[in-house]
Amino acid sequence: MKRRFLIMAIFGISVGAVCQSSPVEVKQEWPMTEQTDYSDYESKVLLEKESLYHYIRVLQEDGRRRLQFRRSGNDYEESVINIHQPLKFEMYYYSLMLAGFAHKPDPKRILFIGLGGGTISMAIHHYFPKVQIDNVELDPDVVEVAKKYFGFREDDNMKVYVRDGRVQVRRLLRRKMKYDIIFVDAFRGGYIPYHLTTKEFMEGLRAILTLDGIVVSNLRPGFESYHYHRRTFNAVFRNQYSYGSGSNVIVIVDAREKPIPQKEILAAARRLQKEKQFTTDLPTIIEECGTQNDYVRKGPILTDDYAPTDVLRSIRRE
Amino acid sequence: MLRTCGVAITVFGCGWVLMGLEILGGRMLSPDFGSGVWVWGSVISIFLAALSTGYFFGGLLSKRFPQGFGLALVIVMAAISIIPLAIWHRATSGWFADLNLHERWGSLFAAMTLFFVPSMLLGIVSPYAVRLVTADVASVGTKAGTLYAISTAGSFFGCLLTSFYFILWMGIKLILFLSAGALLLIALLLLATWYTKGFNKQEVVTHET
Repeated sequence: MKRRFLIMAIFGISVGAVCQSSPVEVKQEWPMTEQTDYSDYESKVLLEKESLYHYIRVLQEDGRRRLQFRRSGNDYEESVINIHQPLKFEMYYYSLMLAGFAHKPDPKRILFIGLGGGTISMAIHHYFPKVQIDNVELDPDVVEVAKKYFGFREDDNMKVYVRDGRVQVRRLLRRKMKYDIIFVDAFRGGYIPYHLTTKEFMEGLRAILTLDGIVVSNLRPGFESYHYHRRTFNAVFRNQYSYGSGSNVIVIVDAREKPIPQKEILAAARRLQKEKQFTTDLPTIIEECGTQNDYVRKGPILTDDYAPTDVLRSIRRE
Repeated sequence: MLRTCGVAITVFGCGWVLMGLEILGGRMLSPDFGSGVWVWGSVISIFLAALSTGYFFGGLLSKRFPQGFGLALVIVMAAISIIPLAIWHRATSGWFADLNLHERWGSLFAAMTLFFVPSMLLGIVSPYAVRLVTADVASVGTKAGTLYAISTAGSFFGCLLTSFYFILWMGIKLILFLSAGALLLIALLLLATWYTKGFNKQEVVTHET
């Protein structure tokens, strides 16, 4: 029932259009607010900006728009969007993150910590238009970039809090808010700020989860820190599942009495795939990308008092 | 000479602990107020305000009690003031976070409550130390310059080693307890060097400068 107003300026000509959003239609995409008139295959820097927290770059090439944060001479990709088909995920881990919905297929409220370009948030909003999505983003400039270059926008069911993730979780806790799914994808140029990795933070997350709610977290394997993250999750949540094995592993945790049987997760994935027609095949992800025990279980965890993540993330461990 | 050495070690150690504390400050507040610019801004501002206050009172105190004992007492107080910080810093900053102020003010007030007293006490040390090693006006500049250099070198190491290594090795609480312990040792050392007889004959503390 929502009306979308989109204004596109292609080749300098403004075209006004109004379209009806329907949740099942695959081709339905959200409009890029900033259109440029050069060819798809040209690589071009659309924005370079030093914000309070990051050195932000927005690039466009090949019909893809990229959000990068620079740190120590490297540009870390935070978001990539296909400007013609925003639902066609250009980063593999976006698809992996969808696995969360196989674990919790009927969410009412979702919290998303670490907006970036807002690509996943908008996709979720598209597939689940009735779900209330609250986003948290530290950097006001990143929110601006998401709106200007990545087609992100707020409405009744899509809110952004411009605030530190940990601070916002504390506030939500005080307001006794409960979420069914919490996505944690807060990176600052290749690493997760330490205060979003500790046991105390995890306890905060658990406290704002519904009874059968889940936390879906994006981690980078291959470093010592990965095992610390997993053990810290293990100390706070009862059940852990993980998907993917490349440069990103999506870890899903919950505090239910018993783990959900694989069969049920798969059945939910199949049901959802049929209903939502995700661009990636969710049942395949559930079946083929599960990696339950890929971490070292014995060892220290991260706490507010002791969280040497800066060192741990530079120690390679395969 | 022994006295001067004792005072030099004192300012070095106190400079070290002060900057170590400042680095830990940002780390202590970030669970409640994030790791944004406000937290660092608050911590640094409060340390500067405390130092300014400390320098002022340090000058006054050194005039009243120009004795090693007075300075040692200040350092012992600084050591004691770090202990509650180690034990209750989480609870304190959590309390401020729950006041629901803007993070800016929340982190500023929390920083003030947590760090003002220890850093003010450490701020007293520098001017006090200058007074203790100075016997005449002519050498005041040299002595003060040397002591500031030593004290700031201590701060350099405290800052660097705490941020580069200690946080990663030990955790906040342990570093704080060790800092308090170090300050107590420094106070003892100062007393020992100050009141050792025989070596200090040439250095008579004059009351007129």
